[in-house]
Formats: sequence, C-alpha cells, structure tokens
Amino acid sequence: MKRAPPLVGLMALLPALLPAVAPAQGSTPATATAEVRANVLAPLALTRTGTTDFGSFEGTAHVEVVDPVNPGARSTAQFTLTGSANTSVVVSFDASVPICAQAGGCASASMTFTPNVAFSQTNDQSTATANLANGTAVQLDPTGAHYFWLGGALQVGSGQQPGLYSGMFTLSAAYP
Amino acid sequence: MNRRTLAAVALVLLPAAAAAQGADAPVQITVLAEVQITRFGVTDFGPVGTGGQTYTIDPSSPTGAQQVASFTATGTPFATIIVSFAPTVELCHETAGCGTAFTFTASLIRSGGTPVNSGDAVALNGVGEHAFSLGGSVTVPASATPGLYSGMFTLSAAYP
Repeated sequence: MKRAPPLVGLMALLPALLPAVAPAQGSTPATATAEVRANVLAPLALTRTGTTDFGSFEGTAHVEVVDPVNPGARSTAQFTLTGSANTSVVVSFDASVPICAQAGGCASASMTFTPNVAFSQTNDQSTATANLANGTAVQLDPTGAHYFWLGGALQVGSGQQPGLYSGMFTLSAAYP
Repeated sequence: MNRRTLAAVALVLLPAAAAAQGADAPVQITVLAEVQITRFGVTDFGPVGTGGQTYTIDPSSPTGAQQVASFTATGTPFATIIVSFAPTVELCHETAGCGTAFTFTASLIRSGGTPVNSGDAVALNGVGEHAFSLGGSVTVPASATPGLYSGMFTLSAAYP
C-alpha cells in the first residue's frame, strides 16, 4: 500500500484551498508641497542733514523761493531714508509750515512756508525730481535708500517784521 | 494524526462548490484611481514689518500683495480621502538660516471655504477632484532679522 502524504505536504495545499482574501491596506498617500514665505522689512529710518535757509531779504510783500534741485547760493536740508531694498515707501508731510520770529514767536510775527520736496534714488540733488506730492509712494533703491531735498516758497508780508525767523518741517515715511 | 483524520481535515477545507448543487455569488471590487495632489502658486505674506506683530492671510480672500497656494486632490469620483499636514511650519531666513526662524501656522480651507484640519475626511466631487487653499498666520518677532523667510508646507491625501 502506498504511504499517505505527510502532514507537511497537506499543509502546503492549504493556501490554494482557502478563499483569496487579501488584508486591507490603505492607499499610498499622495503629497504636494507649497512654499510659504514672508518678507520682513527693515525698520525705516530718516536722517536729516543741513538746513533750508532763505538767507536775508527785504521785508516787503513778495515770495521767496528756494529751488530744491538747484538752490544756488542758498542751502537746502537733505533727508536720507533707509529701509528694505527695492520696497515702496509712502512719504508724507504738511502742506505748509509756519515760520515764526525767533524774538517773540509766532504771536509776534510769522510767515508761511510752502515746502517743495525733491526726491531721487541717487544721492545727487541736481538730478532729483521736484514737487513731490504728499502721500506719494517712492521706491527705495537696491541698497534700501532714497534721498530728499527741501526747498520751497516763503510768503513775505508787507512790512514784515525784521529779524530771524525759523520753523520746523517734518518728513515722515512708512511702508504702505 | 492518522490518515483518516487527515482526510477529514481535507474535506472541511474543500470549497462548498464541491457539493452537488451549484450556487453563484456576485463578487464586486472597485479599483480606486490613484490619489494625486497638484499644487499651484505659493503662500506669500508679502512685505511684513517687525515689532512682534501677527500677520494673517485669509485663504479665501488674500489682500494686497498676499498670495495663497492652492492644491487640487484627484482620484475616484465621490471617494473619500483623508488629508493630513503639519499644522505649523518653520520659516527660515534666506541667508541667516533657521537660527532666526519664526512659525507659520497653517489655515487650510477646502472647496466652499470650510476649514480643514489634519486628519479630516473630505469627499471628492463628481469628477474626482477637491480643491484646497492655504492661508495662515505668522508672528514676526520684534528682533527678527529683515529679509526673506520661507518654508515648505506639505499636504498629503490618501484613501482611508
């Protein structure tokens, strides 16, 4: 009589006899990536050098002018704005500034100064553009700088009290 | 185990079809299309200041220079997928590296504007798609070094 197959052989047949049930598997995850970025701006700084000085003139009704691009013998204050390179900055200033007698103050005598601001990406007054409007956005240069020069017009009244007059012009800048 | 016992075991293991009467059972299987995700654009806060302020991009309505990245998951129509992502990503300085990093907290929305959290299940539409938009927020430390910061956000999706 032929000998029966060993148990090991029978066990080898079991997989073929069992139903074809595969274990459950989750799908392979798909992925995609996106860059997230932010440009942290450097704090803005404005520095001023010099003074806008109309010099001396007669106290009769007229308008004294300092050209912010070609001031001639008169001096102009310069402002240097620094911040993040190639970014836009909004510049603001008052449309007029009272210029008051140093002796006695504004209650004693005053004139009205109307600013005329020239601006440029290069530190060259002679090539700057005059008549910057309040609230204008200017572009900082690749080094993060922009330059301004202050000229303007001074309305002198008839019988203007003689003496030294002064006032303060303030230039402000902010990122939009 | 003797020969008789082995024979009995074998009978138990044989399919029922060996019985006299035949019977059919329907077998169905749905082969799902592979899940894929494509990404368009970047999430960009644009210029931000310093001073410890928090800046936020609404993924449904970015403002100004802000941009949002969008993702589209594709697969079998009407199938459910599970999305997953890290809720925060470190944004590192372009030159100074991650030593001056700050944290981006993701705000992901899906079609229709509903916020999505990692682990949420969403249903693909009739053409097998679902779209997502990535906004979020960052708090820039007062001492942050000026410059460009960036990091990578990864969105994953799989069938349950």
